[in-house]
Amino acid sequence: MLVARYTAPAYRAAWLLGAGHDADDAIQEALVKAFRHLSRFEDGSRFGTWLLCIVANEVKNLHRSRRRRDRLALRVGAATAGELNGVADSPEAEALADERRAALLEAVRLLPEKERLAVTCRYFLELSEPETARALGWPLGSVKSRTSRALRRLNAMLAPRLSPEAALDALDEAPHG
Amino acid sequence: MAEQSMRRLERELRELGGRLRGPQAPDVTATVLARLEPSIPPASRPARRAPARRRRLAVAAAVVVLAGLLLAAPGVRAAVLNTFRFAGIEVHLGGRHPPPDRARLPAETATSLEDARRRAAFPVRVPAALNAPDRVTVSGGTPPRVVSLLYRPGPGRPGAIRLDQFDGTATPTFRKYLTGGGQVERVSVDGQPALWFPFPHTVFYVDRDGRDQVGAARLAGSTLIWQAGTVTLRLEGRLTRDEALAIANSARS
Repeated sequence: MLVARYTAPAYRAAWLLGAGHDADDAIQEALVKAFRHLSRFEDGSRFGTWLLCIVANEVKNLHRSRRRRDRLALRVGAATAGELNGVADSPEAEALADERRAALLEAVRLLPEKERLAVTCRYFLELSEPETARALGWPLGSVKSRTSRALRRLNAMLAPRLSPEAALDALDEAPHG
Repeated sequence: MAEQSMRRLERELRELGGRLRGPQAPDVTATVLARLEPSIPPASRPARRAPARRRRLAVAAAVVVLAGLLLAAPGVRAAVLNTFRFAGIEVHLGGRHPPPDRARLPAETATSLEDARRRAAFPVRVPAALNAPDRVTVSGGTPPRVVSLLYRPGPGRPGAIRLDQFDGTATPTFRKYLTGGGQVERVSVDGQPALWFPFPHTVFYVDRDGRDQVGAARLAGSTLIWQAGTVTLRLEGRLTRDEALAIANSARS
């Protein structure tokens, strides 16, 4: 059943875009709209992308009408054996990667709203720049500029914060003459 | 930002996206099909009026608190030797030429202490160990991102003193480049950890998008940085460590 097949990706997209507990309302609206116009789409792969655009739009409408946003509540799923591609990292390397991911997610959460939406569409939902522009109703130029601003900001936010002790150790260990 | 680190970040974001899980998706098939009814052939029509399953997810929102994770593992330190943050200041080791030695912060404008206090979104501290500041400036937009108190040289004070304060939580406001030798020292202000940089170094103002503002770069003298609540303070001038600490410890909002 088509509806069932597209529910999970649509729901995930709504959740990533910050719909929170209104995510089920948003996807119901989006699915109804998408299937009403199903005849326009014969290519299944494009339908998925098109649906995500409608979901993004519904989430935006929700935000506009309620004038509030739910805190982006996400968790990082554990890597499955398949995701690791059979390459076993050392536990230390894996722990380090987990921390980096956690810090990155927290940094995304702290981005200004529009930059966060750009990052969500471009990287989490893997939409192209034109698709992101359509999904968010922005000019293409805004997608590009907000995405690159977001990347610069994330880079700055990810510089590790050290305690003074650790900072001093780092200074002692690094040649900076 | 280097092209390379931009690409690394993009790769990491895609990989992170692949791992992000929200709650279990609700089963909306029945509701959606019911609403689509007129366009569905009678043969496949589902049972009418399946109950909507709203709000069943209320308990599903697992919020994971992620803050503070970076500090824990000893392995992290080795990986990040070249850059770190303390309070709202990012410190880089090496890699920059000294900038021109006189520069202003973006849109830096003179005002009164009362006005700066009214406009700033954080409590502005004034050191009791110094007299009233000779000049007060605000910079970086509305509300001002940075409030600076400036003191002219005078009796018993060989050089000018500058105290910058800013809310230093999400993104760094200043970036220091340490290219010369010299020992950074761990000290404390009001019982809180602080760092003393007893040698000249390059300081850039970082804009809200995380970019160095080259026009606002300058060579800083000895500098003490510390944090009070969410506010980062940096005191700069021709001061000994003990003079700087006495001034810092007397700062009150």
